[in-house]
Amino acid sequence: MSKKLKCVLLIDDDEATNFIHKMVVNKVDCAEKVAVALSGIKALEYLKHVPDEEHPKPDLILVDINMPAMNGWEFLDEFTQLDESQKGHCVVMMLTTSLNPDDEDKSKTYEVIKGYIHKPLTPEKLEKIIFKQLTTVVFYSFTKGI
Amino acid sequence: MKGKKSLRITNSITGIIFLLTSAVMISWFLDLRVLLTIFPNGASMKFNTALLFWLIALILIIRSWKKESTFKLTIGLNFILLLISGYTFMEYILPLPISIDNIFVVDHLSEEFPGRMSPATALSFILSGIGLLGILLENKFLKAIAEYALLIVSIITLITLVSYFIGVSSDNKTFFIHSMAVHTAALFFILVHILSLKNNTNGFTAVLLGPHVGSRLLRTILIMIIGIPLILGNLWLYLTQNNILPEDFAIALYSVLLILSSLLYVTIVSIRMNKSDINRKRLESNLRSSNQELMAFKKALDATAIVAITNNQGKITYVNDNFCTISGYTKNEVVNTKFYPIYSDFYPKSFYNQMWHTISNGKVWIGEIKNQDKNNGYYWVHTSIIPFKDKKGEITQYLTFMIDITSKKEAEELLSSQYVQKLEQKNRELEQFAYIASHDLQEPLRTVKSFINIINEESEAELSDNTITYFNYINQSINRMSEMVKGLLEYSRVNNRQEYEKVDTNTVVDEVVADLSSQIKTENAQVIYSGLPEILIYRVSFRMLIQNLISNAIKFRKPDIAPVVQIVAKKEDQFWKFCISDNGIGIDAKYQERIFVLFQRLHNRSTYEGTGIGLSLCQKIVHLHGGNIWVESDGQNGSKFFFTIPVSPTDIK
Repeated sequence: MSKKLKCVLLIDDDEATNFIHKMVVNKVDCAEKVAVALSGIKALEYLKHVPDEEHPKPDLILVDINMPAMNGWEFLDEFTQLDESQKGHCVVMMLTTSLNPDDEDKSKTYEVIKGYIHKPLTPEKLEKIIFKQLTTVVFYSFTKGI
Repeated sequence: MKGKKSLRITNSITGIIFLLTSAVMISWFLDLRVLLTIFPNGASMKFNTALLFWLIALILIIRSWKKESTFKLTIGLNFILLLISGYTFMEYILPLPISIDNIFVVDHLSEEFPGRMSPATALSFILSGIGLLGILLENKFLKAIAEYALLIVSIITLITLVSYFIGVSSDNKTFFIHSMAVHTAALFFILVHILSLKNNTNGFTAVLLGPHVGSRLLRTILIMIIGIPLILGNLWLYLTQNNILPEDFAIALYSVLLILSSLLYVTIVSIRMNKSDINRKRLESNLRSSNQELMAFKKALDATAIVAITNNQGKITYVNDNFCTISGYTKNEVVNTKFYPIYSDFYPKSFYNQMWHTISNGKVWIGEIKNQDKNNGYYWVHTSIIPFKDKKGEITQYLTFMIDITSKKEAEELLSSQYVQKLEQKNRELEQFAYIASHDLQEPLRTVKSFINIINEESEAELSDNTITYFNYINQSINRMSEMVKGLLEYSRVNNRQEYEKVDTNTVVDEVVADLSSQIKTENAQVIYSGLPEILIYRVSFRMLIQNLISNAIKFRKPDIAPVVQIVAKKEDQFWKFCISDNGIGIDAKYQERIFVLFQRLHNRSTYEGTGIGLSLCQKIVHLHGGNIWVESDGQNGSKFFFTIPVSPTDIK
């Protein structure tokens, strides 16, 4: 991978899961930074934060469905309400253990969701996403980099 | 036949007679002649005559009060009547030493036998007295005699009256009747008919006053029978007495005129009767055809439905064959009884009372009922009960119209019982599944945990920092899963395969507080409760419910405020309402329903421990008892968990 993503945001309430996913992202070496939010609310706080060294705008958001209090869907409802500047040009993907087909069907009704992946995240799954979905973003970052 | 109207008329006539005779008696005392003889030189109504009429009227008036106590009095008065009239009559035949003719008033008017009524009058009184006796004693034999006695009186008075109207001079009258006053005769004539009516047999008066065709004919003809001979007789007397016509020719003329006028009259009557007969026949044929139509309806009804008719008291007056077939009772068994035998114990008594209430208010009742047959079997009928009213709007009878729907109902029942069975089976399968799954899931978990421990112990020195971190994560996950599986196991174990017990809920809370003592101590918490009720519950499950709610109340505390948990209960309607309130972090309104869903959590595990099973378990337990659970909170200042438990549980197994 010649050009890296600026930032990947992982949203999951399970620390162990976040730890593994962070390792996978680092292994593929596709992002300069991996940010972790333990809940939807924390993730919104991150996105609303003025971009800086600690809080770069994410290019890719991987969000879990089943979380305490604000679940994945509720996060997405809030997310779409955000300003364009806060949303940035990121790609949102559902990353879940749910085997319930209803959830996958529901994900298709959200325009903002670009994909639906079953846990655990593996290097192969991540590479596929980046190849399929993020070429434009990579290109965008690339041109911006020039 | 003799309706209230005729009764009113006879009563008022009796009253008039009473007043009239009173007037006559007073006239005698005051010597007023006007009332005593109506025609100049005619016979006068004697004081005794007036007295006896007065007595008869009095007896009739007393009798009309219909009081048992007056019976002896009327008999006594009647006896006086018979005595006076009998004695007077005897005076004509035997030379009796004492005369009663002038004992009350002295007669200055009459020349012959002053003060004494004519023998005809005396006889008429005797006969009337006998007639009255028949009426008073209500004896069948006496009544028959009375009718004849009254007939004789009627003839005597008729002769007197006719003699007067034809103008026969008093010299030409027989001794027997010649001193009977015309108003005496008229009074007798009226009185006899009143008595005959009261005598209540099918005598002449009853026929005369009857409502039927024969009586109508009699009334019409009677005018002619009485009127024509009277007029012609008068004419005949006038012509012969004034020597205008010889007597034999007068008889011939009389006969011819009588025949002609009778013929004319009868012909007119016949024409009128023919007309009404034609009318009647037309009505009859109309009636027949509408009857036929009704019969056709009835036939159709009988062929398709179960029909029963009851009177306004609910007594069965008619049932059709279908009724007998389905209920197993014969017509004779049910007619004149009420519907009780076919009422089934399927319904409470109030159900039938409600039904009766509806129809007795003139409304139609429609519904499906389960009835009982003679062999205690059941059958279902779609039933319509229609009240029928008369002209006055009062209910006269109820038509009950039923269609057999037993097979349809049985099919429905079978279907629903099959559904229930299927549902029960599915529920059991689910419980079994949850139980086995959670039980068996523990096994591999334990294995993994054991091996992690072995690796940790055997190669502790060789492990890198990273590996130790990984092992920590693994342990955390295993512990979490183990907790969840245990929770699931607990959840699946809560079912109604336990018995209700009467339990003092104070002791339950005592036990829970003892169990949670370490948590309470660590958190410096306070649990306040007293006066909780003794109720019927599933003890073990209920304790689990209380434990979860108290433990939650302490767990979700505010970091800077020591937890205070308060438990109260009060009776509301058919439920005991418990409230467990705390001073913790509260629950936001939008999460107040979600918290009861399995595995739903509001907080990250790093903030508050938990599996997301506790409140689902609480809800399951409360629902199992037939109650409800909910939370009230402003999302900041503590929560109030409410749940209800029915006072008398409906144990649905």
